[in-house]
Amino acid sequence: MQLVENLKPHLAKNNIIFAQSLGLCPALAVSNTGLNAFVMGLLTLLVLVLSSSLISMIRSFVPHQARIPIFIVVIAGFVSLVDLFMQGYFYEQYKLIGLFIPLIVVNCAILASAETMASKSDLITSFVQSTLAGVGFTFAITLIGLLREILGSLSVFGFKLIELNGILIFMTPAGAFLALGIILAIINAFKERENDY
Amino acid sequence: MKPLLSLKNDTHKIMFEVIISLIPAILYKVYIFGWLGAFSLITLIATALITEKALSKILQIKSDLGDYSSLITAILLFLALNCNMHAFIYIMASLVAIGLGKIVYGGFAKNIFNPAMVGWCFVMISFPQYMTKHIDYNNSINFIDSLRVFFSFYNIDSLTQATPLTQYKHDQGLFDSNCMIATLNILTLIGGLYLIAKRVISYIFPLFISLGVIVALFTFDYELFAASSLFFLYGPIILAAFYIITDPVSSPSLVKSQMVYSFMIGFVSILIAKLGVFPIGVAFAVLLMNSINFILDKVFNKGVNYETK
Repeated sequence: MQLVENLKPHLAKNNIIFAQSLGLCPALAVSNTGLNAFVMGLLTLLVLVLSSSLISMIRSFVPHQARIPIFIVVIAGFVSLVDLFMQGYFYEQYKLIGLFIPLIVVNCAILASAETMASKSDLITSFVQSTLAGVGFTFAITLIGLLREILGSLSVFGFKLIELNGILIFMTPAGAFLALGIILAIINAFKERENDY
Repeated sequence: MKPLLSLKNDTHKIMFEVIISLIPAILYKVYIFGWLGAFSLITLIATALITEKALSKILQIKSDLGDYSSLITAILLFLALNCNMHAFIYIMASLVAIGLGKIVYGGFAKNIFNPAMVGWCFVMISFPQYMTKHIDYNNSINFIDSLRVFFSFYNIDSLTQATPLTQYKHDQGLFDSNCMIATLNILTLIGGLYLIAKRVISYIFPLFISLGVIVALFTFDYELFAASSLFFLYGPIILAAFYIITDPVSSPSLVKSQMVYSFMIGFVSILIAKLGVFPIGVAFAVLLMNSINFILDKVFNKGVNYETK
């Protein structure tokens, strides 16, 4: 129960994408279908948790001046690991989003998490916090992907709802911005209502 | 030569003039398309007004001018779209034009982009299979059949196309049945000249967009006479020149920047036609130039002899 309470702010109010506006590049580029977005979210979650844990373990002997390159090397190592893992075991999915997996290295959400949280807290805290944030990221990117898939091709996770063409613009990069804007507008409307009362 | 906004007191009157000047073109288009024309016009206007009212209420925007500008947006969409599509496409066009083109920026006179062109581009990218289909004229379809076409996704192959330019792009030739589009454009031209005579719009916009188109045609090695008669007579340039790029909200306010703005729209339209997949890119050119018109105003504001309107 405590875990659910902790997770709640990470889904909307303190979400990486919706509130902090970090990691927008994968959220806009890979969210053309719900499944692609979900896999991308899971991979990012994996890299986020692993790199945050390792960084929190090595934080005492990382020189302060050289911390960013060291964090990047750690993150890049885990990204290569995830990349090879996808290539080896899920080659069909890898063909769809493979181009974007190495780009997880430059996902600023992971670096921000390493810099602001993992390099200052112990292993347990950093593991729990990064897991919560990563689940929030996965939720957000899957939501964008589902919205784009439903509007753009009238299907959910690849299952066609109606045999018609959807609103094609939502399958294009411009549609990603529109979908993100719609979701942000709804979240902000709820936030405002909460602040009023 | 004054843009609409400088005349705050009789903005209503000026918008009324714009609608009056569009009436011949609307009536003619409804005539050549028959019932389908009437249905699409009614759908566009109704959706625009309902969207305007509903969203203004939700977002608590108070504007008595919003209704007029929505009406003009819907009419411009009607003149820019063809009339053989499904009702859903008109609803989307109007909804996006008013919602995403205007209301999200805070209502009337706060939008960056031209609402009608936002709606047009949205449906062009979303439903290209309907927007670029060639079909011939017929205004003799009866009421019931028109309704059936309008509310279903069945194709009808006995109506007209939005612009013969699509066909020129593919076949390098024209059918002889396009004089109706030309008549429509001439009626639009008459309306535009009436607005210039009434000093509602500036002559700078049509003049410089024409210059831009002609320079572009020279640059890209078109056969000048054939291509210019094609683009001017059958294309959307006249509508754009008199009604779309003159929109006072989304166009620059200094004379010099208006010149650059109009010229670049003409030039970029032909550039898009030459290099892209679309027959002509007026709407995309308008959106592109809308996004930099503040910069244009700033650049020319530094000059010595500028005029503020």
